[in-house]
Amino acid sequence: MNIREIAEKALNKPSPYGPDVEIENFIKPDKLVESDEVYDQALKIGSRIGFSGVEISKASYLQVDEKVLTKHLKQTLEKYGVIVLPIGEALKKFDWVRNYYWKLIPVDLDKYTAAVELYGLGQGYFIYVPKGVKVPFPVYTCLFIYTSGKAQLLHNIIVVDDYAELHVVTGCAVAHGIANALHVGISEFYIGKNAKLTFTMLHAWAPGVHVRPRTGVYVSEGGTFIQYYVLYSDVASIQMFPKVILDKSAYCNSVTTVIGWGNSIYDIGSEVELIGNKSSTIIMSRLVGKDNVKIISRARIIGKGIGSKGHIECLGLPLTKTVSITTIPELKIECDDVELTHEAAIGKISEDELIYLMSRGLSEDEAKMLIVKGFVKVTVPELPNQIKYAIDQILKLITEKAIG
Amino acid sequence: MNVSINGRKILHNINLHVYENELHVIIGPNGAGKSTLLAVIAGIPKYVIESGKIIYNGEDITNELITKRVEKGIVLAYQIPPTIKTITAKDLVSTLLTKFKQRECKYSDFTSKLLEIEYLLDRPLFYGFSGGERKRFELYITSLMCPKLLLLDEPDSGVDIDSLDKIAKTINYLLDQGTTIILVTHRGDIINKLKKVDKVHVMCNGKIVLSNGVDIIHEIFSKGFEEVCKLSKS
Repeated sequence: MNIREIAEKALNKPSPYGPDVEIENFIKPDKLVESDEVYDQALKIGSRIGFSGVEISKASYLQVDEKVLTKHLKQTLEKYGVIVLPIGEALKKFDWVRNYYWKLIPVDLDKYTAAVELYGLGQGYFIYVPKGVKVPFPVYTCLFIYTSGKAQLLHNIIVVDDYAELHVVTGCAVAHGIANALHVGISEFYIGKNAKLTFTMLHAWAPGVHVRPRTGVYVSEGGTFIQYYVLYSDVASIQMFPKVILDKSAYCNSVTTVIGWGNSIYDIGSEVELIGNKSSTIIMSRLVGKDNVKIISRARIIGKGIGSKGHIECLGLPLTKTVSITTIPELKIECDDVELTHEAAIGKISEDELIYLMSRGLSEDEAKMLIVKGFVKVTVPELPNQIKYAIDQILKLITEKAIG
Repeated sequence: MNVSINGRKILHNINLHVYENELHVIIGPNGAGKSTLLAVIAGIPKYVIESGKIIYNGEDITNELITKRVEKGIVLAYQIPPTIKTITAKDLVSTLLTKFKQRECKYSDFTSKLLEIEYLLDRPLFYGFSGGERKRFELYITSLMCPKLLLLDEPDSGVDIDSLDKIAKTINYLLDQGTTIILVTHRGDIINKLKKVDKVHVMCNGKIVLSNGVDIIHEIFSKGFEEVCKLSKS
């Protein structure tokens, strides 16, 4: 059976996690076209995730609905031998891209992966960084939805070859007033020996939007993968459970920050498999919710390699009584020389802390904001300062919005 | 003034006058109501004022919110400030420096050096601080707020001799700047380090039982609180 045939068989297969979405309502086949017109649309949406004209104009891959623009930065990146192409084009142009296509995520994982294969039209990006190349600036990719009622079905592949380094910032957002939409993003990342990929995601959806990212990552010996996910909007539902496999002495830090409101359902988390000896990981999440938000935070570490280590840290902060937060940490060892730990704490802002800060002259809202801002702040030393700054700014802005 | 918490009366007929730039010391045994008195003046919300008034600079502030009182310059240094793990000490400092920028008292230039707090800034607020560090940092924080009436709740308890020295020097500095201070303690050694004490009040069982000059301190500490409280009853 070829990939398409396998996908067809899975088109009705629900995911074991998250609410089921009737994807056929959103499938409206269209063609992926290269278009300059997306730039203006992107400018309108980008502000939601702190992307100004500067970031948009720097975006190496800019997609709005099914229109794409890749010419920005192309020359600069080509100078380093870096390839950035829409995935469909990359598959046609280079045979070897097939070696990375549906290799970390089964195409028949569920109906969402199947839909991307069958109706995805080659949307999504392919990025390749050659051996030893350290790209000195962050590469921005923007995936925006501008039209209601559609599905955005993407397949992204990033290959960072041995000893290379890449920092990617992905902004995903929908335009104001989008009543409903479906976003499915397949991401397969391959990190070579002693290579490093940092992947920062800044996402802002809308109440009618369902989001189903499917991510698989393989980190070779001595490699580093940093995943920083910030989601700060309401959403109909989001469900993701990316899986990272770590070879010998590889390292992964996965940070998930959710600031949610409305009637949104967030089912998020990460799984890391420590197959290599001395591989290590930290999975962290910071969950802030108000209104009727429901958050389920999953974290799973499987320790197989000798001397491997893993830690889960999950903190939840409900701002209103009607918030529901569940944390599901799972630790599994398949070798006796493994150290896995987890800690979790969920609790509202303590009255004593609030009164103390008010006795320092802060209003109740200012005090809450200071606490929430501190709560969502996670230090990730591996991220370039430029990205750290962008994250800080976004968190500041959105904390103010969440409290105010 | 009479004050209760959860229906239980804890301050009885308190009468206290403090004039500008004076330093008053309140002493007394544990549970006498000293901390409550400071908290009530500061406006900590959990207490109920059954009767009486708090007059500050001729203005009735009995029903004013805690933040309003801070705006007027009434600042409480906690006996035990809460640990806030989610923010760093620096987060609070920079927030307060911005907040109180317009007051331009600039005490912090001096107090940060005097209290040696620099190395604590990157830590979570009060998390893992020793007794002395906690007191020094809390005093530093209050100095950022440009206090006019500073309420010091046991700034000397649980601190070593070096920290005590730094704390006393800071208090003397703030006095020099014209700050009015009410200081609660149950130890004598900080009093000896202060450049002046205008009045000493003894509190027992929620009452001020004795108010006098600093000379009564020695007598009180030689007799012990129990004796003084007993005497005042009779």
